[in-house]
Amino acid sequence: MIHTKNLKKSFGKLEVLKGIDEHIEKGEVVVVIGPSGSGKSTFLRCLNLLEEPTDGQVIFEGQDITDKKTDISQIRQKMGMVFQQFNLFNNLSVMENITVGPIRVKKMSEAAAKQKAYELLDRVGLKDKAENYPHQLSGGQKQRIAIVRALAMEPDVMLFDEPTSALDPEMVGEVLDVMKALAKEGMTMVIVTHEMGFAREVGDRVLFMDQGVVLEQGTPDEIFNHAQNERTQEFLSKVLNM
Amino acid sequence: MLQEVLYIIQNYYPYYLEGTRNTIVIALLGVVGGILCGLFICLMRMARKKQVLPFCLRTIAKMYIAVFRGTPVIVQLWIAYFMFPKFIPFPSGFFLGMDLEKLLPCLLAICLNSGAYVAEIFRAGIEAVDRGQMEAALCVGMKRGMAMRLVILPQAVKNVLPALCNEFVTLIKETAVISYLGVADLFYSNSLVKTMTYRMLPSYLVLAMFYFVLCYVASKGVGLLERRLHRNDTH
Repeated sequence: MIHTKNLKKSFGKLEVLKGIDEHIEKGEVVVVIGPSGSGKSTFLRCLNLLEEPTDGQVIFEGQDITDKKTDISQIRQKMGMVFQQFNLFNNLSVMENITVGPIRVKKMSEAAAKQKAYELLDRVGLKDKAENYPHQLSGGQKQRIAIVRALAMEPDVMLFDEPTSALDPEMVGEVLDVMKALAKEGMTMVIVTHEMGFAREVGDRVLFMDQGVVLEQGTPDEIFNHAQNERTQEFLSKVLNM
Repeated sequence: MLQEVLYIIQNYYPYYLEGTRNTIVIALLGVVGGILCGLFICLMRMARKKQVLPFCLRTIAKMYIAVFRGTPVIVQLWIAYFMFPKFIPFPSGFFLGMDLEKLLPCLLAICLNSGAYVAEIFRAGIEAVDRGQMEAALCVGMKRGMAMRLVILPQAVKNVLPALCNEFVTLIKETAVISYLGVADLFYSNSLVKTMTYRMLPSYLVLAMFYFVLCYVASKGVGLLERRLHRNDTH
């Protein structure tokens, strides 16, 4: 579904991604782990061109989206994204946050968009918050709304950029539960996270990144229990013994 | 001294009132024109660097801002006064006792000048909106223009409203210079009173009083508005 070929990204002289070749299959849940500064988030943000790769290609559903002629906003409709900082539209109500994309971009009717929004809100248990504004919500609620906002566009893949890192510990669970449910339904997901328990439980495949390359990858069992690479073992021993 | 001040107020207050009204009208029109002009310049100024056309627009806007902020208002006014009538046929006649052939070029110059400042106010307001808002908008498939319209600008307006009102207060004071071109504003009224009474200091004191009250009330109004916006923020 998503194919990256020799994906590179530099910020000035700093090379953050040093050529990544990856293939994400339809229905797969790929979890990306690694120390901070390893390029995980940059990798994810290159997939929908929030960061423009310096070199290499990203091929999504057979289309080279790094090609200048591609209408990237068309592509992004099929790639939902959830951010660490939620990024709900502060000037819009929860309902408007969810429906603005379907109505304005997909030209869905307002009634249909609202109905869809209510269904999704119901699924994450926030139906009663439809008329609230983002600043009235807790972090966990904001993030669940952000997930709903992305889902309302009916994407083919969901990208999660450290979705629980900015949350109070007690709110992490409610967001992870929504993500687990989503994974069970067969959604294609790419998740950058520090939640190792979640990675182990939900991931079909785990990528370990360090210094701009994918050092090692495999099933959760292979990575967490039988890591081959020394850096992977070192990293895991640090984070798992906490 | 106090007596002389009172004497001037008592006998010549209609002049000052008329001038006050005109100054308010000029400052209001100036700030509205400045906002329109400023929004336009700001959007040009914020065009992205990478393509040719946006880069040109950006450069023009930068030069525009630099020139208008880098020359005295009165110089701009004189240039406007002599140059604009060559290109634009201004109607003759009077508006609130002001000669349109003088008022309109001056007003245009003030709008253009204020636009340069307002453009920077807008830019600061837009840049104060978190970058994630634009990213999130792009991620639901919006194009940049739509994201600006639906998400960024509504938030930016809230940021800049107080600064825009301050620009209005600034214009109340700054527009005093247009009396040099013979537009009948508050400062001009005082010149009339001055020549009729030959009482220099008292008339200027009265003038200062009128300007002060005008600006004080306006800035108090701004403060009120600011608090109100803030209240809406926190509910």
